[in-house]
Amino acid sequence: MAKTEEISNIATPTVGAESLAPNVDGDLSLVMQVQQGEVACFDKLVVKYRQRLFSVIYNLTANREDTADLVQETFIKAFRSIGRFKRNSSFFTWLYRIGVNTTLSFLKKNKARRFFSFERIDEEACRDDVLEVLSSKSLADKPTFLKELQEKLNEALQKLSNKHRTIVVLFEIDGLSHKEIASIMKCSEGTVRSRLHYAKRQLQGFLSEFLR
Amino acid sequence: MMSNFNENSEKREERVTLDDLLQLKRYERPPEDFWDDFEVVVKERALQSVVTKKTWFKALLSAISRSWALRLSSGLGLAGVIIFCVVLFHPNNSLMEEGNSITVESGDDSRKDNVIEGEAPDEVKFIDVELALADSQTVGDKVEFIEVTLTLNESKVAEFDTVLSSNDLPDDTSDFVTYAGANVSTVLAESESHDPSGSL
Repeated sequence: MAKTEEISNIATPTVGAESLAPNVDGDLSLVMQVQQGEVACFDKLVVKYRQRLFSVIYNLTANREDTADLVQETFIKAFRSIGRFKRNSSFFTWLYRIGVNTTLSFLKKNKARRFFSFERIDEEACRDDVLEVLSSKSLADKPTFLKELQEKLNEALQKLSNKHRTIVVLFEIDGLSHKEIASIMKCSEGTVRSRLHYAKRQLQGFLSEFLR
Repeated sequence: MMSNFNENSEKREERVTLDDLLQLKRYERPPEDFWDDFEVVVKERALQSVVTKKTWFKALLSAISRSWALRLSSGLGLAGVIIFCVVLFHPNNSLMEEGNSITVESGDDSRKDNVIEGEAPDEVKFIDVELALADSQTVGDKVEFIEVTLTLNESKVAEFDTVLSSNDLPDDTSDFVTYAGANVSTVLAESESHDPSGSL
């Protein structure tokens, strides 16, 4: 009982995860148009979801070149099988599932790959007060600090198993709900919560030097 | 999100949590020019991927089997026409004398039953052909008619094949893309036999 409460507390997002969920209005209409042969409508879906998909896959692979290939591959697979999309789930859930499957298969085949390339943190979007709290240094040192922090974050994420990392990325970084993640990973919400709890406990250990 | 962070950070007197660290990952983005032409490349690759090019041995097998099928069907058709003509123009043929009814002038009753029950579908087929050729009286016309019919049937098969493969196209990406774009609804329906969003 106590363990259940602990899991539930840790798994509750500190920010409104719902606000990060994609606006899926109009997706089904676009999908139907593509299914009828209007290829141009698929471009709209690509533009809408490419950044989010990039973010998820990048945080799973920690490599920009691999991510670029995998994002393209995901959209190509989605295009090839869009005729079979039955609208039982939302398009973005279906697309994410293809992306996550493709990435996890890639990671299984390429276990030896362990080099990281970093995307820059969008400093305009990321307000300085966040970094001030984290660094307690003058903002002149910000680039150095950011690089160090990125390295440690990526290293810590890569130490997790693929399934645990996927859940952390989808929940903490992409802001999806437990229900959406359960649908993408085809497991129960309870499994999502327990994996998230376990993964965050591991991350806390890996990043203890930054947690003050 | 940031206001939540500010409130939380004030309350905690600058205490940093794991969530704060992970939220930084949300701001990691590729430069804007990374997305230049992205959807164009995806579209080209996607269209190219639905057009399959046969390997040389498959193309060879297909050509051989098609050639054999053509010869066999032509031969059978020709043989059918010859048998039909022999039966039709034979001086003692009852069909010529008594219209379309089937009669057996000699033999026992059991043989008569077999002929009526067993051969009726073939007779119907030839009579259909004959009806379509009511104005054509020469054997040459009938042979030509059968050959044209066989050729037309073969061309239907050929048209169906070209939807799925592109052996006639040069190895030029833009041609694949144009081809797939023009046939996209058919190609999408035929491609990808399994669901890529399967279980993890």
